[in-house]
Amino acid sequence: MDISRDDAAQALSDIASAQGRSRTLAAYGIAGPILIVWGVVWLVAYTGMGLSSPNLWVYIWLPADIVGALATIVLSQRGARGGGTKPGIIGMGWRIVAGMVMAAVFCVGLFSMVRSQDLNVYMAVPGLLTGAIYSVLGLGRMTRYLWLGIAVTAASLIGFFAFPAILPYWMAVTGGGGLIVGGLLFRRP
Amino acid sequence: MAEPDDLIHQPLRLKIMAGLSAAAAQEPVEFARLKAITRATDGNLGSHLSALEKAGYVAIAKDFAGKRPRTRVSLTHEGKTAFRRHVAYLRELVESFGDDA
Repeated sequence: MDISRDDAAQALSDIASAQGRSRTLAAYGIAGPILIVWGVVWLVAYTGMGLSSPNLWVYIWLPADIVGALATIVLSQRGARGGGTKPGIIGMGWRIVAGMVMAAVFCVGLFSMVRSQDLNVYMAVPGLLTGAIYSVLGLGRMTRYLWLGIAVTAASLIGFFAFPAILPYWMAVTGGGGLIVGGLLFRRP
Repeated sequence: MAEPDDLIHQPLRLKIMAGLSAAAAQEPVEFARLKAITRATDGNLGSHLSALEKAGYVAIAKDFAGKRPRTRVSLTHEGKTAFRRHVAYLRELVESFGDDA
């Protein structure tokens, strides 16, 4: 068999591309169910915010976040074992949870420094931050995150400025629902 | 110097083997995902998978996920070894030309 140097270089490039796509699709497969879980968490917690007084919000979000974080760790470990992925992805759940903790610290820090009389700020900012994080993740190889980030950011901004009276329910339906739909789309090959 | 593998070097089969090698340590890869990885049509992918299966490089398992029929493909030990050898050959070829220049 006669293979030229250019053929060999092209073949190596094709191999690297196919391996990258394989890993990316495997990671989407793991992320899909996790996004669905967080969609449900948002749906329940934002609805709870709409139905309760602000001093109870922490008691809604704290258990919801703990359930979401535990589910994230379990789903990422199960997905990595069953999804045909290299060991690097196995720690994905812990990295996601660590990222969430950082995001929570950012929000608490921000709200401590910049206090607002408008309670809707406390609902929209976490959505904006989530959208920004997903958008940044999507700037690399995993472009599906970019679309999800844009959708969550748009939903948060539109809700804050156009529908302030029903913002918690808006965030529950568009934010939570968006994450669920996003999760279902992520699961597609 | 490592030897080239004529069967693997065909472009689509090379992508199939590469896609499976990225997942080889774990579970098999579903046909639909392999199609997305290789960007091949159903028929083309199916015929090249058959060739690789005949050579003993991949194992194809058909079952049901609920009521949905599912085809999953994985690299065999022989396939992993052959792919590794072929990649080594390609690297040596590129590097040896590089040394000459």
